[in-house]
Amino acid sequence: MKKLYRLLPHLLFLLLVALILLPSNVEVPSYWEFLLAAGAIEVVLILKRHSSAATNIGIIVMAFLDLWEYYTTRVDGVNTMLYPIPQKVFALYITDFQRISMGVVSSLRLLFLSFFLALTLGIVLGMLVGWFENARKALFPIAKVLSPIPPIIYSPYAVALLPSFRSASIFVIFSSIFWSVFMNMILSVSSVDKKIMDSARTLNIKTIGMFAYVLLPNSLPMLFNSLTVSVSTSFMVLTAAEMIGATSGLGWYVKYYSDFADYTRVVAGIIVIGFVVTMLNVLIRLLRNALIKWR
Amino acid sequence: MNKIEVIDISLDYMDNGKRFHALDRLSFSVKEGEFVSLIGSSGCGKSTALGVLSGLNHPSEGKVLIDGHQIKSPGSDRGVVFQHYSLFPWMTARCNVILGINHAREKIPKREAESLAQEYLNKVGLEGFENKYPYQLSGGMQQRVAIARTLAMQPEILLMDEPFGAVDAKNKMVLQDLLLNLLQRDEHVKTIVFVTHDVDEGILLSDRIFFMNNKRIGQEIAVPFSRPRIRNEIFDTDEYRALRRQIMSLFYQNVANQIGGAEVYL
Ligand SMILES: Nc1ncnc2c1ncn2[C@@H]1O[C@H](COP(=O)(O)OP(=O)(O)O)[C@@H](O)[C@H]1O
Ligand SMILES: [Mg+2]
Repeated sequence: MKKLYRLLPHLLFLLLVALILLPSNVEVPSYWEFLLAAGAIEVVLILKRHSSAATNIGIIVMAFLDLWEYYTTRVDGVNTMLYPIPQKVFALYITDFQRISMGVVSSLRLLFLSFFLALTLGIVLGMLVGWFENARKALFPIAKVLSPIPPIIYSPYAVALLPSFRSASIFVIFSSIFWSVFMNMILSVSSVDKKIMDSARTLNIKTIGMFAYVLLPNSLPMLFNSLTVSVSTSFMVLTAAEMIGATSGLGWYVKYYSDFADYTRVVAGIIVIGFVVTMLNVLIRLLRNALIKWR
Repeated sequence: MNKIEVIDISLDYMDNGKRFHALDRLSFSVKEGEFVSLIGSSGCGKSTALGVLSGLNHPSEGKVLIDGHQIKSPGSDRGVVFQHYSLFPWMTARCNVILGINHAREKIPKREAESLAQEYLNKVGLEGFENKYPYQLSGGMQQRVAIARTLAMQPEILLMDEPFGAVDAKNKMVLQDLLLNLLQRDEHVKTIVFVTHDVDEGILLSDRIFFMNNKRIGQEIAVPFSRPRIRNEIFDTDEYRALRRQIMSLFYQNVANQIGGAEVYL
């Protein structure tokens, strides 16, 4: 039973390969891109075969691909404009490579710039405000009011208000990250273990050293937790902003082709967005493991 | 001249708007090179008093003089070891010690700080554990690092707040012997104030014992044993047993007073 369960994602993969290779209702110009993508997922699943989470995810992903492939190529009367055929979607990654990769680059550039600004300001201001009790008591309640306002809400306004789309989207993405970093930083600085603080003070560590050797490292684990959430929300905000005013980027790509009812490209864009977010999360995890070795 | 002079310090804690009187005109003095212990039942204000000496707590009245100068804040003339592991979890044993060294002395070259750290880690028997993080070390080992860090800062005064209170019995003995040994050989630390509620520990280590009672020193007891001290030789003597009985009776008396003078069986 257990063995079969472990084999299931791989059986589903084989089924998918069969569905792709065997003759079907529809003509596709090229199928190897989809085959390759499925193969890449299968390789990851084989590498991670000892993780039961990976097995579960593998089952879901492969089953989804099977259903998608079966529904679009084997069921009669399916509207393949609304339900694009996977082979066609994945073939776009070759034929539309330039536009998609430029979209990725353009989105990531905005994202990294905003992240950099939000992290630096959030960490520095959060530490200062957390450290000085008066500043904390005045600013924390204000931050509590402003932070829950979802930036997506004011992104159209920001696009209208600010001189360029670029500055508007940087502002919106910035605000989606800044508040959580800022507030988490305040909380962690003002709640450092008293034993640690006492110990630091008896070592004669002065204010600057406190920030560098105690407060910053103490807040790193929490900072990374909030970062994982921030990446997802910021990407959401980014794509939403791009849908309003951009001329490139992943959000723009999806929106632009939606207007032409080119849902093959829409689905391709959505998959890329998911992929990019996943890669960003992997990056954050690697960074966390490199920086936080103490537990 | 006395190295440390504690003059009539009183201290009130504010706890949720309520005032709690923790020290009441506490006075004592410690001579240069002396090892004194503060003993008393828990909650009697030992940690509070040590906190005043270290500069972490500020007395509402009275003052503490070191070499005749009033102290206002922590200083590199005093090193502190706490009961609960006070290492920075994000630094290896070595980095913890180096951090202490760098903050105790102005502009010490990196190479020198590193070799000093190594020297003191070796002294507490932690060769081979330099690159471990605190979570990878046992409680006793973490306390060794804390001791190494404090000694490496080469303070004139060592303040220790139940440093072995959270260590198991066997390791406690090992660490007590280690401390005796280190202090005999270390030329930098000269004066020690040690907080404990363990009578044996107090006798073994101290020259004088201050028994705390009613938020101040209730009684002062001299410990006559010569140094170097060897645990088993001391524990076998009649003097030791008499001393121990004397201090234990102070504890009983203390308990009896607290529960209203009724006869107590312990
Ligand atoms: N930060 C504080 N706020 C309020 N009360 C405190 C605080 N710290 C200690 N106390 C109280 O002061 C008394 C003395 O505490 P402490 O010096 O830690 O005792 P000891 O170290 O002898 O066990 C205790 O009754 C304790 O509850
Ligand atoms: Mg205590």
